[in-house]
Amino acid sequence: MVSIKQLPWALMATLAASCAIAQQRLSPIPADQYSADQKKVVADIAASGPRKEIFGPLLPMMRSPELAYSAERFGEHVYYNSGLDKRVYELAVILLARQMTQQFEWRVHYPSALKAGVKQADVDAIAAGRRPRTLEPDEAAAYDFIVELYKRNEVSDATYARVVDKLGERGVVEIVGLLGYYTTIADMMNVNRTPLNPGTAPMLKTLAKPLP
Amino acid sequence: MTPIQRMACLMMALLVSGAAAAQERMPPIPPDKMTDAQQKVVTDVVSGPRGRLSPPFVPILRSPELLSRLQRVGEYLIYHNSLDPRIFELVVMMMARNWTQQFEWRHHYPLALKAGVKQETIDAIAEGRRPVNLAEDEAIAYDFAVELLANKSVSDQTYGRFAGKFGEQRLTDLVATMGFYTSIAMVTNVDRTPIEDGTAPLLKPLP
Repeated sequence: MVSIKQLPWALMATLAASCAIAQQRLSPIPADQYSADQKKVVADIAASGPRKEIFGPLLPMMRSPELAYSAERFGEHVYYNSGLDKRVYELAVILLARQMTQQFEWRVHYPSALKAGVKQADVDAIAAGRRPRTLEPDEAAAYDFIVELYKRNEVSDATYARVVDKLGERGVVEIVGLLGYYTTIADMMNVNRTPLNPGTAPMLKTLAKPLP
Repeated sequence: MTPIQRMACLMMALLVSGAAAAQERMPPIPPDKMTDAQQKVVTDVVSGPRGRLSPPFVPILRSPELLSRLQRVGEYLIYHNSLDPRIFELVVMMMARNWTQQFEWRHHYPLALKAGVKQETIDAIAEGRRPVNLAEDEAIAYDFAVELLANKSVSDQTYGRFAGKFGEQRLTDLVATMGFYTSIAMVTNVDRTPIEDGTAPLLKPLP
């Protein structure tokens, strides 16, 4: 039994224990400890990209500098130049975050999805593992394409035709590129146990079948 | 041949022709129809270590800049990654099975054998069984990849064994390999990319 006096200490101990569990496995390498190869990657990205620095979730990859460089360049295209409507883009990202129960991505992209115009009711449905009911036609085409791809590893003719009609062949290819990129980041963050940004809490519940 | 047998044969023939008719959805773009950006990327890729625009990149050419950036990740992973080729090919075979991706399966089948993955290991992966005679390093990589695919996370014990045996660079290369082949499997399955000639057996549905 914990007395009232002991309670704060018990809480502290619990918190400390949970912090220890959640510690990053591949924490960022301090810049002053970078090797020559790592410094070169930092300089090349600063000189070339729109972001000018390696995106935070990719930092564990600095263990493999050339990989970090090429992953950053891939991500810059996906994020800045996919040509997808921001609404469809953000919908795809939160679907991926839900599929992989990636709390960091969900926490970051949930507000971006709302800001881009995805409806609150649809975001809530995706979080809860229900099928959203008020998607716009282009959102619904992308949604069905992604869910079918996850469930069947491929897509039916009807679903394919509808997504090409709404997004074009390039749009379909960009959606797949986006899914591949965010899968890589989500895997990396899940393996690393990347912590959430300070002051934020996980929002996704664990679901056996995340996508309806 | 009884009428029922004849009917069965006819249905078989229809099924086979139906499978053949599952044509690729985003076929090669004829060179004279390519934009300047597409032509430039194709020239870059063909003059690189690949020497050709390999089939999975044919659909991706609809976005030449995406192709350029994604293939660069692949170029690192295929030609310069820090993993033993035997481990790399083992994990690629696991990814092809996970997505039932016939092009990748057939393409990597001989590469995996050549890299030293045992025939019985490939057979087990094809059937969705855990291979029984894995070398120690193969077993460590196999367990890591299986956990990441199934749980989207890796337990401390499995992580510790992998990091202890291979180090952190190989660990990040492995995670990126799985991510890259996810992109490739998705695009080739969507595209229905045709398999290339070869003798390697194709994947059957899991039992």
